[in-house]
Formats: sequence, C-alpha cells, structure tokens
Amino acid sequence: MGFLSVFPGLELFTQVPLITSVARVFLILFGFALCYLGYKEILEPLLMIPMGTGMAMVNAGMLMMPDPTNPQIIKPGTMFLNSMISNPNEIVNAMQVFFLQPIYTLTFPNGLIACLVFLGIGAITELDIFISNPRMSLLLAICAELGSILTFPIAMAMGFTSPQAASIAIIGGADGPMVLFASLRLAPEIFVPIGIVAYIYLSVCYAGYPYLIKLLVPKHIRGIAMSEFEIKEVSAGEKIAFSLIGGTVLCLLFPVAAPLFVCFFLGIIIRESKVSRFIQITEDVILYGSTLFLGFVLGCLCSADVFTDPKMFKLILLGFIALFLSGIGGLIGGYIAYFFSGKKLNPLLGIAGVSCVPTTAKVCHKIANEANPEAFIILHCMGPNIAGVITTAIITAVYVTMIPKCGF
Amino acid sequence: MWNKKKTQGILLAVVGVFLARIDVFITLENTQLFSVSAIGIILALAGIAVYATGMPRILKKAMACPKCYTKNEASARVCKKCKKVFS
Repeated sequence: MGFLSVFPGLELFTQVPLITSVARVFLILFGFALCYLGYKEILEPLLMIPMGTGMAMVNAGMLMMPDPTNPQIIKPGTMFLNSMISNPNEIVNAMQVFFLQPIYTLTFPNGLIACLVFLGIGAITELDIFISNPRMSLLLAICAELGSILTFPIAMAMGFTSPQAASIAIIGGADGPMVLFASLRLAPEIFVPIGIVAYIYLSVCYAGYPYLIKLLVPKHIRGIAMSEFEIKEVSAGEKIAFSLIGGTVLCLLFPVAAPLFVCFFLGIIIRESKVSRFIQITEDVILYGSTLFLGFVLGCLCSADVFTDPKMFKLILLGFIALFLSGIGGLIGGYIAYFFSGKKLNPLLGIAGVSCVPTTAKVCHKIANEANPEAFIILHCMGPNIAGVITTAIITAVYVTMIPKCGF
Repeated sequence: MWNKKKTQGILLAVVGVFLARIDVFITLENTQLFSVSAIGIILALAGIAVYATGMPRILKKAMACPKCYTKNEASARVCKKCKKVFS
C-alpha cells in the first residue's frame, strides 16, 4: 500500500486518464476562483459562492467506489450525488448513500427547484412598475430575447436536435429557472451541462455586460438622468384578479409550462395579499433557500467527467452566443426607444430587458450612476426587467409546447 | 370595477386559447397546426394585454431607496423596507 492510498482523492489521480486528472485540478481551481469572485461581488455572490464551493469540493472528494447500478464494478465517484441513475430501486439505494441525492432526486428532475425559485421571483415582483409603461417595457424585453430566438437555429446547425437546441437557446433569456425547466422537459439528457453553463453565464452577465455597455454606448448617453419615475398604481385587488386571469389563460395555452406560471403568479398574489408571514417565507426562505441549494447542487454536478464531455465545449460557445446576442438585442431595443423618446430615455434600459431579475437592472443602474451620479434609473430599469421574465416565460412555454406538438 | 375593456380582453383570450388548442378538435398538418396555434397564442396574449389596459390606475410619483432600491412614494422621508432616512 503506497503513501497516496492514505488520501483516496490524491490516489485517484494515478488511477484515471490524464485528461480527467487535469480537468479535476482545473475544476478545483475554477471553483476557488468562482467563490472568490462571488465574495468580491465581481460575479453574482448568491450563486457563485455555493456553486464554486461545491465544484471545488466535489472534484477534490473523488474516490474509487462500487457503481450503484452494478456493485461488482469499482469506478471513480463521489459521496455527493449521482445524477445518472433513473431506476427506482437504484434511486432509493442512492438516497441512503449520497448526501445530496434526496434534494437532487426530489427537486431537480421534476423541475420543483425551478418552480420554487420562480415563486420567490413572483413574490419580489413589483407589477405596478411593469403596468406603468407596459408597451415600452415589452418592446425592450422582446428585443432582449434576440439570443433566445437566434441561438435556436445556430444550435441546430451545430448538430443538436430541435429539443436540445431550444433548451440551449433559452440561456439567452438569462433566466436560470427557465433554462432548467426547458432542459428538463425537452432534453433531460443534457440537463446537467446546460444547467452548469447557464448558471455560470448568468453570473458572468453581472461582470460581462458592463464591458459590452461601455463598448457600445458613449458615456454621455449612458449617463442620461431620466425624469422622475411616475407610477400608475393599481389596487391590490385588481393585481390579484389580473394574476388569476393571466395565470389561468397562460396555463390553458401552455399546460406543459403550467407549474412555472402557477408559481410565478402565486408569488405575486402572496405579495399583493399582504399576508406578512407568507411574504416573509417566500422572499426570505423559499427564494434564497432554493437559490442556495440550486447553486450548490449544480456545483456538485460539475465533476470532471461532465466537463470533459465534448458537448460541453459546444454548450459553452452557444451559451456565450445566446447571452451576447440578447445583450446586443437589448441595446438595439434601448437605442430604438432612445430615438423614439426624443433622446430622453437611457438606452441602458434595453439591457435590463435581459430578465435575470434583478441583476441586469442593478448593472444598468450602476453603469448609469457611474457615468452621471445624478442618474438614478433603477425603477425605470425594473419595468423591462419584469417584462423580460414574462417574455422569457412565454418563449420557454412556446418552445416546450410547440416543439413536441409540431414535431420539429 | 368591471368595464368593457376587461370583457373584450377576456373574450379575445378565450378565442386565442380555442385556436391555440384547436388540435383537440380537428387534425391538421404540422405547418397548419403551427400557424393556427401561433395566431391563437398571439390573440390570447393580446387578450391579457387588453384586460390589463382596463385596470383603473392612479398616477403617483415614486422613487427608489438608494440603499436597498425598494420603491417608495416620492414624498416619503424614510424607506419602507430598510428604514434609511432620505436626505
């Protein structure tokens, strides 16, 4: 017995192909980097801290262990979770071995985790801000969906099937729960790499979009201080009625995406019903609790074998294309609105249409505020931001409903 | 308060849902089904938008808290969420 066998994680480096060992070292360092960048708030800390920690530690904590499907075979694995098993007996056995398996099995394959995040998003959504200027907000949000639309044919041209291409294209909507939901419904076989790529890129929006904005929008335009925000307030009862009617119509239209819609509108109804304990539990516990486990489980799924899958490199490229196109589309929409408003509207509002609530709105506000300390545009940004969630949900629902139905 | 726009919105949405789910009643080719469903989806979404325009609104000035970005009334002195005092 050699010295290395005292440390199974280190011994494994000598027992697996070189590429896997290199990928493990890279992912451990990458996990450290994500965690650090999250801590420094260069990337989105809510996701990157749990994801980076999970990624580093799952790749460090590998060992040779019996395969859960065939105990005679000894192969590299971890004590975290196994996403490859689907047989009910194996799942029950795995739940008694892998500590994250119950959370993964009971909340990921059925889309519950995405729905819980969406419930929380509903509970923090100020519907008034969207209703104040719905046409402009929707125009910007539709332009910012450029990536979700154009990436679909690009992915098909790169050899993905139409359900896989649609799941990848949803990354352009920059809405994590939608990406998870679409990939689980349309292409569960590539759900893990899509989920990882999507969430890493969503966080990169936080760091990358400021550069895109500074590259394409001159400083004097970035700093346009818009007029005081005028809100068209609607009574709570009207908003509850709207949520019930809107939610029912959307569920009738897209029954496959009904779980997402019901959670989103339930969140809005809870917010408007003013039941403080429900509001507290959805905002503080459900939203942040599910975000924590979502980030951590996705980090733990990012093992060396997933990363060395050749599809992963295509997904990384397509994820970048999707978010880049959405950013460009958003800025095009922003410039259209800027010229139509007589140069009074800040075109950065277009980037806020890339949903990712409330990250992109905060990014736009910060950039405008840097260019002109008197520009305080966060409320103006929230309109397109909320519209972005709605348009991404509709595009997801269209893909999830139409692709299997029309047999593309 | 119920009004004409809300009724129009709901009727439009019902027609849209009917068209979008027409495959329940008749069999169509994929291309035709896609076109009819797409028209139905657009009509139903337009119905929701028409309903929203029928919601009575009150115009108010609002401001965001510089610390937590929560929406407050323009005349507020203290943030309703983080209690920051506005200067």
